[in-house]
Amino acid sequence: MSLRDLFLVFNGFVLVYFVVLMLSYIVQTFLGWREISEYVKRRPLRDYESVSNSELSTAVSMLVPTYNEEAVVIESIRSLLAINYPTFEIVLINDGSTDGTLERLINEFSLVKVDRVPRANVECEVVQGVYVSPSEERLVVIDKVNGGKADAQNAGLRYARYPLFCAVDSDTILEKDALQRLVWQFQVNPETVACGGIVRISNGSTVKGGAVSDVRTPKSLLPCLQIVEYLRAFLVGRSGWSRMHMLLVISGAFGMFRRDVVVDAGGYDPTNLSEDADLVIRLHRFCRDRKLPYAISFVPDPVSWTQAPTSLRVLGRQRDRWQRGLIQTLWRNRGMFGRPRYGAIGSIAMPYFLVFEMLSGPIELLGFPIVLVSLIEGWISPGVALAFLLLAITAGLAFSFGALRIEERAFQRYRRWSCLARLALAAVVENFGYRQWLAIVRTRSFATILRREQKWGEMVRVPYEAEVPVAAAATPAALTMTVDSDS
Amino acid sequence: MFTEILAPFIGISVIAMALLALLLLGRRLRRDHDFRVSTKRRRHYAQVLRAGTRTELLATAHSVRSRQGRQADFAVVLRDELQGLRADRHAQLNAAALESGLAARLIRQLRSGRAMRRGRAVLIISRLKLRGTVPALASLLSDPDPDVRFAAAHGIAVYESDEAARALIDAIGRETMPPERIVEQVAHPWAVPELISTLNRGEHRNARPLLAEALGLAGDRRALATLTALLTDRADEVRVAACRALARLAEPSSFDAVAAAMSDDFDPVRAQAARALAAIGDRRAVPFLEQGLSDPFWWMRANCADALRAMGDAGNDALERAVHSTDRFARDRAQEALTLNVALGRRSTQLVQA
Repeated sequence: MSLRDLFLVFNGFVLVYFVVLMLSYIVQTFLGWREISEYVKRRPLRDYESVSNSELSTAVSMLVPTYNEEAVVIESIRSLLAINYPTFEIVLINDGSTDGTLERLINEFSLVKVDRVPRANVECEVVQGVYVSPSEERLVVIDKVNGGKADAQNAGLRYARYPLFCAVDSDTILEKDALQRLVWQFQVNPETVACGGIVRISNGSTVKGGAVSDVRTPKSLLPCLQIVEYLRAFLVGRSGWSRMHMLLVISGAFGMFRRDVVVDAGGYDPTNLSEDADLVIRLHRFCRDRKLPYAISFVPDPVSWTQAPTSLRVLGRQRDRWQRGLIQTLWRNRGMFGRPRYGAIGSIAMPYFLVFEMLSGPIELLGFPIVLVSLIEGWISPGVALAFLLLAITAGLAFSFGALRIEERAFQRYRRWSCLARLALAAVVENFGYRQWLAIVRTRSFATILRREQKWGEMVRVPYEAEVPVAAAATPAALTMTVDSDS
Repeated sequence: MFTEILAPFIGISVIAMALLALLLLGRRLRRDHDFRVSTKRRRHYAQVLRAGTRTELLATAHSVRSRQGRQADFAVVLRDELQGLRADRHAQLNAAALESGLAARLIRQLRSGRAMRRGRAVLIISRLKLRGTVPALASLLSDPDPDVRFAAAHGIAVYESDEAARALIDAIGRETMPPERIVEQVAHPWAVPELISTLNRGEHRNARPLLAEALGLAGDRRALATLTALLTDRADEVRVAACRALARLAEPSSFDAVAAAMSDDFDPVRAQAARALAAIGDRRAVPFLEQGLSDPFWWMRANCADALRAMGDAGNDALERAVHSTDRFARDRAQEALTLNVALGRRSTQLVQA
């Protein structure tokens, strides 16, 4: 086979790849639309208040791993304590922070060290102390040797008391009714073992009293691009997959699980960079291996808010970690591929993630030089190549606009016309540079994996309600975050 | 050649982008329009409900009859407005619903093939508290749609009658929805007579623990005798539930019965009895709780330590003795309880260090 034939075969492969990808986008958008439309129609029938008023509502332990989050940890806890729910506890795990996180917690909540016997047999790094607050009985702080987020969550699982646990990032702000909406799902369908809510980006919005009071898009482009990405991932992707009962990812920033099932499944895998996706896939595996009836679902309006990276450097590290986590997860669960026992999870969802998520970066990146060479050599017509590019962009746009339309149909969080315009613009702009940059980052992750590096990457946090934080002012990312604000 | 091939694709792309932008814009405009219409309509309904004439009430009920969008708005207004409405006004509204045919229409709608329509009918019927509709609503407790079942359970509870309590308790036996969700609807004083009578009749044997739990949640002293009697029930789970319920009632007169449960053979009964003693708060409980610190069941020991923490000096003295216990769990829990009391200023530091 000559080089020309090889290139033409690759071009043909890319064409088929693209067509299948577009078809999957259409199916996901359609299913996401159906799922969320139905959800919105059903909302008036659901009396979520009854969940927060009933003493029989299932009690929830909120697991909050934290590492060097001195700047935001107190605010986060205060926000979590204000949640409207009858019985819950906050298990905050200080994962060997080297800043003053623990000291701030001890001072703020007058914590006292106690001896607690763990309630679950899940492995984790050494726990140096368990602290409780005399004034706030719902708070338990676990101080442990650093072992990563998943290890911290395992430590939380060991000491959590209640049948459900909610994994929350320490920089996450939960809306007041977020827990009751997730618990509703467990109460309506007792087979539910895991349920995820939506994670939204708080950059640019106003945060007051531990809650997002005025939702806006930031002025800078990068967080706007991520808002569109998140809307696409949650409102289209996860809703669509959830409707097909093939949900593979529940965000580590906000998801609820049945504690007994997660403990039996071995808890979180501390060696996995994408511990959230890994846990969900292992839950599928665990339940199907034992032929247990189960449901893993996504609910689109219990909302949590998180800060998105505002510099390419931090964003690149985050996406690199996500990609390496995906590779690890798929590799470690490779035994599920195509096995009839795992049904559609092993035969549709996982292969999809392998081909269209994990390999999309390298395929896209490889496509550019090959198409370029093919063009120079005259193996393909420039018109056809450009037409293909245009169609690819249009299809990508349709996917993004589909997500925005679902947002408009169901939630309309961004009430201002200027915000909507900014998001629409971001949906267009992301096709010219941003997506290609992401493809490079995701391809580079393969090299990192081959070098066996296990970097986590740090995210710079700033206090939500700070005007210009002095401590963070020296950090470019932190400054951008503050300047981002529209207000 | 180049332009010839490219031109249609550029055209298609531009048209597609414009179409996408228009669709997004259209969605925003439509949603804003719907929102405006709905707000205006709700305002109108609220005014009519509060101060409208009989004719206006009739006209409103008539207009709501066959339009689903209007029914949705009407249901919201009923939820928000009815609590502040006078009884005579409520009666007028119900009369208008009957006269206009709205009531009959909604009852027919309960048999609709669409879940949302059935659910909406449940909401309006129950918010209006239309007389004689409990049996019709009860039939939806076995509805194939979970949201309709839940709405029906909630709707029936609004009637606060023996008939409503009976319908909900019977649904526990049918097992069409998680029993806890029904119990939370009947856990109110209005349902206590029916709960007691069901327990006394020995009906719904599997649901007896939950019925006992409901009596506790209702917080009604009329349940005291029944719950005390249940402490000697043959079923372990019933005794556990009775202890939990008595802890909620925290009635001093139940002290002797609860103290006797501290020597029950079933571990969780003892653990719940310890919590009940803490809730009752009678200092006579201290010896029982101190003895419980060396119980073989860890949960019992934990609950006893927590209970002693709330028992003042006598409890603290008992905890101090437990700090020197050979049992690690009792020691740890006692130490934790004392540490927390020190932090709260309920005990001096010297005592703990001793």
